[in-house]
Amino acid sequence: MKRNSETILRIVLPLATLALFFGAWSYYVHGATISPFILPPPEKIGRAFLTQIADPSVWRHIQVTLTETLGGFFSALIAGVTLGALMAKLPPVEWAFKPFIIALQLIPKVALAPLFILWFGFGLESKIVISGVLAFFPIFANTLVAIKSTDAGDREVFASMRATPLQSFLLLELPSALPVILTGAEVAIVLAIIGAIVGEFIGGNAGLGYLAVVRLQELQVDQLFGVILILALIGLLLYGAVAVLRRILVPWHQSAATQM
Amino acid sequence: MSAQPELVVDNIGKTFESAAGSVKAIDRIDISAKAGEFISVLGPSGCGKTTLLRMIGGLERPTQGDVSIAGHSVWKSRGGEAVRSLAFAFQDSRLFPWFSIEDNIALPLRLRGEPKEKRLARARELCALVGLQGFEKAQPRQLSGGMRQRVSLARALAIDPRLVLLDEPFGALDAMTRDQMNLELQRICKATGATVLLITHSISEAVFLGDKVVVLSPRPSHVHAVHEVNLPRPRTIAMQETSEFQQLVRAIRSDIAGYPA
Repeated sequence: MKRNSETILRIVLPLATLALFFGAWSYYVHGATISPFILPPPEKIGRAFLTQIADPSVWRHIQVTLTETLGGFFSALIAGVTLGALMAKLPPVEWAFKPFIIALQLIPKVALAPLFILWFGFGLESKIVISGVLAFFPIFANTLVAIKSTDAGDREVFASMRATPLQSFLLLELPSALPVILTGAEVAIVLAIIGAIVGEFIGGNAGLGYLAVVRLQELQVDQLFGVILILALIGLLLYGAVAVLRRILVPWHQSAATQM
Repeated sequence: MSAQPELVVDNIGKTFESAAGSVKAIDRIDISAKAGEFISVLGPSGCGKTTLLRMIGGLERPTQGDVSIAGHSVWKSRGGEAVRSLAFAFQDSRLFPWFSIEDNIALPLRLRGEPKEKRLARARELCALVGLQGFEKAQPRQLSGGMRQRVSLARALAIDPRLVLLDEPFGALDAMTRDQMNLELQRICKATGATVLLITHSISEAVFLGDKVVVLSPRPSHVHAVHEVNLPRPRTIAMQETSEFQQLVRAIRSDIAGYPA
């Protein structure tokens, strides 16, 4: 009985919050003196969203942003895991490079975006670089820590079986680090989207970030909201994809069961 | 044929050096075992039992002495013949959750580059030996603590070792499971014919399983006493109630009570 009513409340209450939010929004916009140019009513935004996803030119922009985001994310994944693992296994590599990677992390990397536009042009490449630079750090840092913190008792078992360093790395350290690396990837995918959008804001001729700027300049605020909604959905989709990846790669880990 | 001992621990000792000075953990220990013999090693906590096991197993270099297995030196020969013929099982089962049960058992063979078919066949065989038929494809998290220890034991046996080193393998199990596992261990050891060296805190476990019980002194440890256990095999749980068994347990307990304070 109690279980049941709790389940119902858990479904009904967030929906009620949502309804209240949109109700208040709608009431405010229709009743008050605020201009619909500044804050359009929700139903108008809904219509703008629907017309946009029916528009093939918008899909081209979606494709561009997705390409940049995934390009940046996978570059960061390869570079982050490789560098993180190298530094975890070879202390001299860590000593040589880690101070600079930390220093790089301390720069607000978004501020580097104009430079990357200058170096890599207005096309996809510069956005992939910005996206990749933003996404790199969480993957790198998590890989480094996770591989270093492999359980000492587990290492002892591998030592007792006379495993070579490469065998220990591939069969013990990497698999045991994977859940933490994937946690880094979850943070990274969100940062990768931000990187792509920022790149498009400041120097693009395509993509959803570019489209948002255009809609603002045209003062089509309902369409601007539509673009934001599309971006939110892409974020949700990509984050969900990493969560699915977790279930496939580390089904043995607690985190795979508690996700989403 | 001369009865060359299978395992010889010869005058082995370990002194740890640190900035604070040197600490003698193990003064000197001599142990010898015939092929197929089961040796129990008992000692107070902190007497360096685990260090002893790691030195015998080639994981930690002794500061004096050596170990030989079937005539091959663990520390003096570079070939590694001796260390290739031994295996460990630890207090925690230490199974790897990213491998299935059969892959966990076959792991030592994989590390030696054995082909997949061969090592999986061996894993199936060992599953049957430790009473886990049908669990080959299961995941470690699906098994109980006792079952996981069986898998851990099967993994140690995968390379068909001459010498098995057991570091309190059932220390983390409840008393009832532990009795059951000791019976199983006896059966499995007999089936494989390996020489076994078991480290334990439990006097009755040491007597129940061992052909010989080696009692170590507190640190810096040496062999305080050696007791032969002449109870017939296979031993049963009921045998623990016999006066012979009880007498041995009492004798060992008085050994331990006789430690210098």
